[in-house]
Amino acid sequence: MQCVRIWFRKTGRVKYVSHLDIMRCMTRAVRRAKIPLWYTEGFNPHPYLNFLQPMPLGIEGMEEPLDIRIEGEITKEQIRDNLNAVLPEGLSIVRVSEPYMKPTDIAFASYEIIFQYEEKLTKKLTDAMNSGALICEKMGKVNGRKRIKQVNVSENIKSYELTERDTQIVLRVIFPCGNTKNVNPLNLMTAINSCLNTDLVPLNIVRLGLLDENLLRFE
Amino acid sequence: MKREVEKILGLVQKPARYTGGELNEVIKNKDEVDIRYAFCFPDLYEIGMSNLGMKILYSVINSRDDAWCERVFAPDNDMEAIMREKGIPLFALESGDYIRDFDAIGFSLSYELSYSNMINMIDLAGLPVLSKDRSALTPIIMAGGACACNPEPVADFVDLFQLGDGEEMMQDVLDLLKECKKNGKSKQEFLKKAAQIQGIYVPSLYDVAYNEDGTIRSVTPVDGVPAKVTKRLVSNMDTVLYPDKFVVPFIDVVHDRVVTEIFRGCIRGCRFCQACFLNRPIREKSPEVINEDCKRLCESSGYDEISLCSLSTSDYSHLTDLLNQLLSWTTDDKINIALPSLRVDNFPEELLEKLNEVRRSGLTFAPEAGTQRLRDVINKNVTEEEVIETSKKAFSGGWTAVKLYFMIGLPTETMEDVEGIAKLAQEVVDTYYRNPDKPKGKSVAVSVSASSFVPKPFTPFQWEAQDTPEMLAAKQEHLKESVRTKKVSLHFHDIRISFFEGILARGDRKLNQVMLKAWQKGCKFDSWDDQFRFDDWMEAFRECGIDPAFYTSRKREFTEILPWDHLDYGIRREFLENENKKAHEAITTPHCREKCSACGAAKLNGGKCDAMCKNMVP
Repeated sequence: MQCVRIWFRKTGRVKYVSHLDIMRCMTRAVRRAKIPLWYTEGFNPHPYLNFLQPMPLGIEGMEEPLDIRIEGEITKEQIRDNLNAVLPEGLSIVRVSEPYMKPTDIAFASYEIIFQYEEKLTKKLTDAMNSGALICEKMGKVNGRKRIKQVNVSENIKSYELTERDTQIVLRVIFPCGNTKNVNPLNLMTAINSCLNTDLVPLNIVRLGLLDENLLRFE
Repeated sequence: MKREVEKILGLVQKPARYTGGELNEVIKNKDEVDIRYAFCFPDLYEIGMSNLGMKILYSVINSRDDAWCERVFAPDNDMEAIMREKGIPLFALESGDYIRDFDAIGFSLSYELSYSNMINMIDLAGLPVLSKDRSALTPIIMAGGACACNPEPVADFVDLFQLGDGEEMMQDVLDLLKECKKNGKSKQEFLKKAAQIQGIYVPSLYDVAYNEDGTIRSVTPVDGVPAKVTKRLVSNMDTVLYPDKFVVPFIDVVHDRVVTEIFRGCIRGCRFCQACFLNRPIREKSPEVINEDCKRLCESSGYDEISLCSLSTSDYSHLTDLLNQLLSWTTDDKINIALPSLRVDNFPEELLEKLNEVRRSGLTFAPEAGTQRLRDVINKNVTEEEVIETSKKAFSGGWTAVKLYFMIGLPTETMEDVEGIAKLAQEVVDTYYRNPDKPKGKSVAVSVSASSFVPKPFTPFQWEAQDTPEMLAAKQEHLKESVRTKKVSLHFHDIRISFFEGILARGDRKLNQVMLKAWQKGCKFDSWDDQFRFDDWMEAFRECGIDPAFYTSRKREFTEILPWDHLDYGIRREFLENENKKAHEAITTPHCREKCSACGAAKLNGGKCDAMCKNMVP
C-alpha cells in the first residue's frame, strides 16, 4: 500500500458542487480510471480517499490536494492521464506527487475575488479592506447553543492586494486555513457588501492554493 | 449557463441541482439539430435523476443526430421564488437555455401526485398552462409514463400523451414533428396526424359527454382519429436501444447506481397492481445482453452497485445464469448486486450467499395483507409458512432486521385482517427468538410499513370503492393497538394523500378545473408530506362544485363507462371483470407460467408472451 497526492483543479459550473459530492464523484472517477486501489478491509470495502482541505461551495480551486492509497504498479503520469480521461467537465488533475508535507502543515490559503470593473470600485474596496471592521454575521455556537454570531473578518486577513486588470478588479487575499482556523471568502463578501451597503456579486472566486505557516506553498 | 442564473446560485440550497455538467451529459451544437427536446421530470432533481424511463428516453432521443434532449426538473421552493422574483424562466440543465424556446417539452408522469408540479413547470417556463391557449406548433407539450393510462385529470394541459413503451413511439413523434415544422404545418395539423400513430392519445380530439349523475355517457373521436388508442409496445428487449451511459449526478439522489431492466411485465397478476397489467405481455431480455449492458454501464459510470430492475426479479427465467455471468466479474471489481422485488420462495440459497460477498443488503418481504383469505382476494400468492420459513433462513444467516410491506383498505378487508398484520409481524419476531444460534445480545427489528390501498385503472379493482379517510384512520388505529411489542415498528402513509391520490387515479376531465384552481392556490409537491396542502385542494373542489367522494368511495358498476375505457392496454375487459368476481369469492388465479389466464395482452405482441406457458391463449 502506497499513498500518493493528487492535485486537482475545479473550475466552471462544477464549483457549485459541494465538497461531499466532489468526494463521491472522485471516488467513482478513480474506479473508472482503473487505478489499482487499496480497499479498506471492513464489511463495506471502499477505496481510501482523503481530501486535505474542504472547498467552500461556489468557489473554484486551482490546485486542491487529495491523497489516495494504491496497491500495485502504476506511474504518477498514468494516474494523472487515466483520471483526466474520465473526469467530468470542470474537474481535472494538474499533477500527482508524493505527499511531502503533513496535512496539518496547511495554515493559510490564498484567494482571488474577481469583480467586474466599475468606476471607483477599487477605491471603495480599498476603503472597506482598510476599515478594520468588516463585520459578517454567521451561524455559530455560543455556549453550545446555535446563535447568530458577529464575526470581524478584518482580524483574520493575513494580507491582501487589489489590482485592476483589463475589465476586472482583482482582490487577492490570504486567509487562515486548516484544522484550527478557517475563513470562507464568501464571509468577506458579505462583510464588504454590508460595509459598503452594496449587493456586489463577484464574477468569480478562486482558491489559488494552500500555504504552510511560513506562507510557502503546501507540497 | 446564463449569468443571471449563476448570480442566484449562491442564494439557494444545493445549487448543483441546477447547473448540469455531470459526467456523461450530452452536449450538442444547437444550430445543428432540428428538434430541441426538454425532458421534464415534475419533481426535484434527486427524485427525477433516479427515474429509469428518463435515462432511457434521454439516450433514445440523443441517439438521433437531428435532436438534442436536455433535462429539466422542478426547482425547489427557494429556487422557484428567486426565479419568479427575478423573472428567470425555467431552463434546461445542459445548455442553460429557456425551454419555452424548445420544439418539444415532454413530461414523465410516474405518479398522480406530480400533476400539479407539471402545471407549475409549464407556467414557470413562461407558457400558458392550458393546451388550448398555446396556439403555436412549438413547443408541443407531451407526457408519458404510468399515469398516461388515465391522463383525463390533466387532459386540458397537455397536447398529447404517449401510451406504453416510449422507445419507438418517441421516434415516430419526433419524425412527424420535424416534418411538420419544416413544412410550416399548424399545431392542429400536427396533432391530427400524431393521433394516427399507435400509442398517441390527443385528448382534444375526443369529446366527452356526461350523464346527469356525473358518469360518462360517451367518448366521441373527432376528425377520424381511432376510437380506441392502443398502447405501444417494444417487442424485442434485446434489440431495443438501452443506454450505454448514464448521466452520473454529483449530488446524492434516491437511486444512485447502475440499473438494467431484465424483463417487462409480470406473471403474478396481483389484483391491486397496476404496473403488472399496464406492462404485459412478458418480454424478457437475454442474460448475455444484460451482462454486457451492466459491464458497459459500470465502466462508463464508476458506480459500485448494479440493480436488476423488474416487477418480480426471481420470475426472470434465466436468473441463475445471469447472476453467474455477473458474479464472474463484479466480485473482483467490488461491485454489489441489488435484487429488488425478489421472491425468496424460489431463490437458490448458495446464490444468496455469493451475492452477499461484497456488501450485505436489507431484507424485505411484501405479504401485502395480514390473513390468507385477504391474500387470496388480492391474488398475492404468498403463504405465511413461506414468510416464516424465509425469515428463519435469513435469521440463521445473520440478519437481524426485516422489513414487511402491507396495505390496508383492501377490498373486503375486515378488522380481523388488519389484526393479522400484527400477528404475522409477531410471528416473525418469535421466529427470531426460536433460532438457537441467534447472535448474542442482539435484538430483532421488524419494520412494518402499511400503506393505504388506492384502486387504480386497468386493474381488477378499478371498479372498487376506496376506503374513506375515516375508515383508514380507524384501521391504522386498530393496527397500532394490535401491535404489542417494541420489536415491531409501524409506518403509515398520510391518509389524506392516499385519498387525494385516489381521486386523481380514477379521475375524469371534470378534474381539470380543480387542478387549475388548486395550482393557482399554490398547490404543488403534493407527494411531499410537509408540502401537501389538503385544505387548499378541498377548497378547490368545493369552489368547482365537485364532490371528491364521487371518485373515491363510489363503487362502479361493470356497465359504467370509465374515463379510460377508450384507451387500450391490451388487457381484455372481460378478464378484469372475471378477476374482480373471483376476488370477491377469494379465489386465486395461478400465475402465468402455471396457466395462461388469457388476459389478452399477447395480442399486441403478435401472440408472443415470454411467460411461455404451454397452454397459452394468444
